[in-house]
Amino acid sequence: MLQDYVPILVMFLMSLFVPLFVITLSALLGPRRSTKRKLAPYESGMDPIGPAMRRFPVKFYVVAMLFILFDIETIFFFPYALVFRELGLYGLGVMGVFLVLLVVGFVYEWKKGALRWE
Amino acid sequence: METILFPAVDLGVIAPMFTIFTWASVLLLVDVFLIPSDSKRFTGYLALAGVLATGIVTLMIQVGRAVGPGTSIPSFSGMVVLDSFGLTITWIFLIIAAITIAISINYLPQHNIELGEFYPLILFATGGMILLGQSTNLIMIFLGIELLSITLYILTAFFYPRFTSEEAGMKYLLLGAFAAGFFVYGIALIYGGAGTVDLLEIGAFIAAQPAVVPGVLPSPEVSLVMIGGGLVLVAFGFKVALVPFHMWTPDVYEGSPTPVAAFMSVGTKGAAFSALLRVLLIGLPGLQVFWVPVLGALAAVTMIVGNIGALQQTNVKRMLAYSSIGHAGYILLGIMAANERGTEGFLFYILAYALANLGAFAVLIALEKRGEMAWSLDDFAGLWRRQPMLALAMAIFMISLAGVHPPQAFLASSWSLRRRGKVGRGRWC
Repeated sequence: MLQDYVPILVMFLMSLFVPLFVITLSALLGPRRSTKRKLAPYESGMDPIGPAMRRFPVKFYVVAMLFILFDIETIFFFPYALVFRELGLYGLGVMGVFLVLLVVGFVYEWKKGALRWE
Repeated sequence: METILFPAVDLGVIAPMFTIFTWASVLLLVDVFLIPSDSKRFTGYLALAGVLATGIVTLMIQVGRAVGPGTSIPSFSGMVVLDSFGLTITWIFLIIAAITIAISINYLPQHNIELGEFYPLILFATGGMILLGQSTNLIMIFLGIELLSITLYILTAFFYPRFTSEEAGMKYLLLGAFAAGFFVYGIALIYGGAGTVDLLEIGAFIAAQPAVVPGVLPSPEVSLVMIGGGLVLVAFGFKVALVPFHMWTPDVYEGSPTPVAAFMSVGTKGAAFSALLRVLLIGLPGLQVFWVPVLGALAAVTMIVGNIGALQQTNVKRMLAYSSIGHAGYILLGIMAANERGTEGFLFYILAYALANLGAFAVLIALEKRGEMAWSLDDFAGLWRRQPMLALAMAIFMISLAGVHPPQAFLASSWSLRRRGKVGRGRWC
């Protein structure tokens, strides 16, 4: 019973090991030439320190929301790709409906200008 | 590799919902691409046509499948069912949607909030309501509640620059998310106990266990189902505004656009109650000894607080909100009866209440249109002299909400009289 979960344990250990390995490696080998910009918390130039009650451009949130929407799409598409043959026509139809709904949303946001940054 | 079993799909069972969702999706694109921003009322007319088309499809299904008392056609592995209860409540929802759209078409441009998205959103919410009326599976009920709620979060905040509308949207979003959490946790516990989320199977599971009686500790599985059922009840309590969970109602109704408040006060309530009815009568009839006293207490407190709360209000929309809380208590009584008469009473009450409440909100909208401020009770002083017909209509709706249902009574009596051929030519016949 518990043996079934060994791959998950291996996966867990791998995901712990890889970032640790990379961080250690870059800390040991990487050159360090720090400038004021590089030492700032966000390299983008956003100042993270200040009053919390201020106006944020809403486009950040719009982009984040759209990203989540289309990210979730992959949650359905990857498993579907694995069992594509077994599901046959029925699966194709179901995913077709899903995709049509997604495209309706996409066309709508596109036309509304949610993808324009300026 | 294991073979994957496909559910038997009968699209006829979900035809009304399917029609309205398809129409709403297409309408969303038609609105963006084809309808210029100064003639958005056309989107409203198209949405009305969508409600009409759904009505035609519903009628075709009703006649084609010969749905009558006792019919029950399940599909999608028993997740949804086509029966006369579901179809009747679908008809009521379609009427509600049509009236809401009709009273919005003039309201939106008057308040400079005319965006085409309003109408597809109403259609989406109606689709969620229809799904709630037909689902016999806890996951489907959750889906229906979320479909309905997420569109309503947007609609309550539709009065964009107005501060109270933003507050209403935020409040409804937070409490709705909270209620959704309760609901999902309840489903998880029920699944942990009964091993299924299908209402029929939950009912069979409880029936197979030794009968539960108060005072004797039930088996752990049954206790899990009981706790889960309690959490689900809390979530429903939030949605229909039963009393310990009613706090959001006045603020949200006051802040949101008046047609949306009208839609919420009857639509959400009817949909959530019809799902609650199925959960209690199909899923948990074996636990009736437990939920009847709980619902009885909730109904009593809801009626008392709702009606006493309404007495103190000077704002008309808040007063109607408290009245809708009180009515939730009355509707709960029909569900508690847990028999056929109770279900009939529930359906009739929802219809009568929907018409009276939508009418009252429609009078408010009509008054706002004629340049009257219909916010406070004082604004109604002397209305008979200024707008006699509206005052008469408001009086009829208020008397109707108070429990005397004159329009229905008049209609019913005049129909039965006419059949006997004894009717006089009075005003109401």
